[in-house]
Amino acid sequence: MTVLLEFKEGIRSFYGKYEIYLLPVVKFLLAFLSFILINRKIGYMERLDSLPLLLILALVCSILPVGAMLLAAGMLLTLHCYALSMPAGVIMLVLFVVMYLLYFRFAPGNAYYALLAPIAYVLGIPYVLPAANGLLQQPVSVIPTICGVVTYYFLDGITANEASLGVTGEEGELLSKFQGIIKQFIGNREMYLTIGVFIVTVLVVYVIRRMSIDYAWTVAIIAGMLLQYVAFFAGYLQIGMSSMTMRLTAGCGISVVVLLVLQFFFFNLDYTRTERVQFEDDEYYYYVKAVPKRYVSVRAKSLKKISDNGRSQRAAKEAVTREELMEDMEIDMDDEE
Amino acid sequence: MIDQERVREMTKLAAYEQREGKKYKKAVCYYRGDFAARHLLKGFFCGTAAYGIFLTLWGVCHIEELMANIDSMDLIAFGTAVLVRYLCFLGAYLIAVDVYANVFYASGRKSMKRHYRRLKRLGRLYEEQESRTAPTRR
Repeated sequence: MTVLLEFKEGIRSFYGKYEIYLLPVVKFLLAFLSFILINRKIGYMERLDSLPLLLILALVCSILPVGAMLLAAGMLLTLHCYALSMPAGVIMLVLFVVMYLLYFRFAPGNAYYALLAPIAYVLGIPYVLPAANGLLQQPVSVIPTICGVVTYYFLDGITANEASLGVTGEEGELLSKFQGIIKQFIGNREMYLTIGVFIVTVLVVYVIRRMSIDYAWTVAIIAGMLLQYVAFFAGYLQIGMSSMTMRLTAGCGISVVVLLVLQFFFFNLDYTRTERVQFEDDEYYYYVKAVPKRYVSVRAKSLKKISDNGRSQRAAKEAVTREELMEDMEIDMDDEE
Repeated sequence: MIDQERVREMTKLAAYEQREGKKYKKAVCYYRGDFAARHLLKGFFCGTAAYGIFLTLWGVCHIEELMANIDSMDLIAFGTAVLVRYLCFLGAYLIAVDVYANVFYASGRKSMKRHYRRLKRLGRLYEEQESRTAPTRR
């Protein structure tokens, strides 16, 4: 445990020292990962499928606010969808406009959750996000996560029907394509299930982690993940997607580990040293519970030089100066004589 | 000589102005009511535009039914249904915007108060230094 705590403090001090460089690097990696995943999942426009272009785009995003990253990802998605089929591109654009109008215009702060949601889906651990929202942020931060979920399911529908959407036909088919995409998107029951479960999970995790109970974060993580597991399990059986249960089990397991790592970094308390004190002033009586944070200071590494080269050089230097001094002294002595 | 405490205060002030300060600066120059009203006005236009988009998408989805039944349709009942849904949607959305604006404003005010306290402390430190360095009158 001490080693882990030292490692954590090391990371913290390293981040504190090099924050100015680390933040753009993290943004660059997030942007690059997002763009690569977009190209892999729906790389319909060949012109955009080039590594130098993505690198330049990610580099630009690394120095701009997170909103710019979201805008770049949205543009990439829209262009790819447009390359497959005009209706898909238009609806993708409309979706982003609605998200912007309803949420990102007012609160652009947590925009990165909208990017993280599709990435988490690709990694198979989307269950981390609502619990992380509840642990680290206010419940309202679930909205960008939901935006990410909606985008992911829309793209999922597009890739599932790419064969029929990619066929160019007459004008009448354009309307039927529009209708097909919208109806499939609106009728996606898995998406509604996910949104509902995510909202409830965020609220449950948020309420529990703010409770004045021992191991509140651990309890909140376990409760949130259990809730998600049970709700998704029942939901998948209900909508006839029982094949998803294996993925759900594995995803929930990995998510718990990820969340415990988050807890270690953001809320690591030592409940064995909890102190309860009571005192009063003129107006109130106070019952205070103080839980100390686990903290270990990083060992300062000191280098010891075993060889005596430097010492002998210094000694030689000192000897010379002494000789000079003696010469000076002689002169002085002569003067005195 | 560098006054360490003053440097610490000034660093905190600069860090605040660069991060949180930027976020809340626009909010605290309004009264609470004005800030919420400004957000609500924006929310009204954004919500109306979003509802228009939803309605258009719904229309595209059901255009064939609409075209087939347009003659026999009760247009007043249809319009009323659209209007009622619009009002419900807008009402719910504006309540959410209002809550968000008030919470944002309250946290902005709180953090700005903390900032002003720090500024005062910095002013006191300057005064103390001036009184120390000023020549004593006899």
